Amino acid sequence: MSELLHTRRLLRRETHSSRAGASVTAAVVGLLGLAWLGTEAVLSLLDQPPLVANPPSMLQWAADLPESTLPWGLAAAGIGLALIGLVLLLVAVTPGTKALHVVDQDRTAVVVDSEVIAAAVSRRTRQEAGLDPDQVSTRVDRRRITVDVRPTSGSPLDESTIRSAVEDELSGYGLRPEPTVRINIRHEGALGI
Amino acid sequence: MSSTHRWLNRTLLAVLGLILVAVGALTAAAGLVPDVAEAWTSTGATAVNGLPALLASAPLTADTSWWTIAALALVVVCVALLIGWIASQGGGRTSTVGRQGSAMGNTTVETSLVADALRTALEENGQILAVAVSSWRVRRQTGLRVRVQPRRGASPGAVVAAANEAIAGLDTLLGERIPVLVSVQTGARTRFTRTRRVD
Repeated sequence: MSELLHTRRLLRRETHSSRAGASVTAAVVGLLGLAWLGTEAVLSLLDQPPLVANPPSMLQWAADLPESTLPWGLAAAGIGLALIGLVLLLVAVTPGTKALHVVDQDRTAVVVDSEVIAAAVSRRTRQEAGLDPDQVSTRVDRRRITVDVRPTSGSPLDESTIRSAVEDELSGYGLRPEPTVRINIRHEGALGI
Repeated sequence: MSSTHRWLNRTLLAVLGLILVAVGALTAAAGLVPDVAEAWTSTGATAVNGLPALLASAPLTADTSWWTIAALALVVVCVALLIGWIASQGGGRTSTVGRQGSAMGNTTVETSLVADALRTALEENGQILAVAVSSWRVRRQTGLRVRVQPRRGASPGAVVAAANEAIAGLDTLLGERIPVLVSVQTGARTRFTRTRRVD
């Protein structure tokens, strides 16, 4: 039983971002700021000239900020800071799902990249309709698969045969959740294929 | 798949985000509302005027104060915590899959054995270009990640079936079922190979 639980844990770790990138970025920015503050503090302790400003004048600058800055400039800076904060909050709260599809299995956890599914669906459509690789393109979203077909000029295609072929191909995958299929046959045909 | 502390990352990012939103809102309010600007300036003036007295209250030498040292120590502690946060990312990869001890001694199964077994079983398949196996220790349990790179246009159903068959073989080989994650992904080799026109 613990094996199954662990498999599910691995699956979650594989399909969701760990937010390591955002964390490292935030930590590095914080480190740079703190390193600067620390350097200024040490320089002022040793009575050396500051890099930019010594700690007392930094405090003075912060205290005088509303008087020394234009109101709209202060407002814009505040909104900018709040927006960065909002982005961090969103990064923390959103699930961060990757473009991977979960396949139902008993023994193992299986994920399939969207690109792999798109290539396979395109290949099946092409074989079914006798088309060239350039004439079919597939887009795989979380819950929807869109197949874009450009028929050869002069030989119309039947949407339902393509649809049933695509659905037959997908039924063998066991994707969870099962995506809906959209077939989009373009009006203009391809010439010289 | 690594043993990154995901909740730690998200919690710290959320805390940082909240702090930035609060500071930003306060700054914007100081720009837009005169009362807030006034309160800001008067609080700031109190702080600036109170600083010399505070520094003098705990003197270390004639012109340095313990408070300066304390502030510096706080900066150093924060730096150490941030470095710890960066260092906590990733990790957990191991080179052994399992270990069994008995009176006679210990037996360990290396990941390379499992990797070779799976690679031999899967790379015979014409639809599969490359197999990469790595083992990860997540929450005191070892799990296997099998990355399979199929040929462009290969049916994921067939690839997954082949992988499952290989893993069933691995189960009998090891006599133990390790948690396995199979990831069917594209990679550099998929991009540079052509689709099979005949299959």
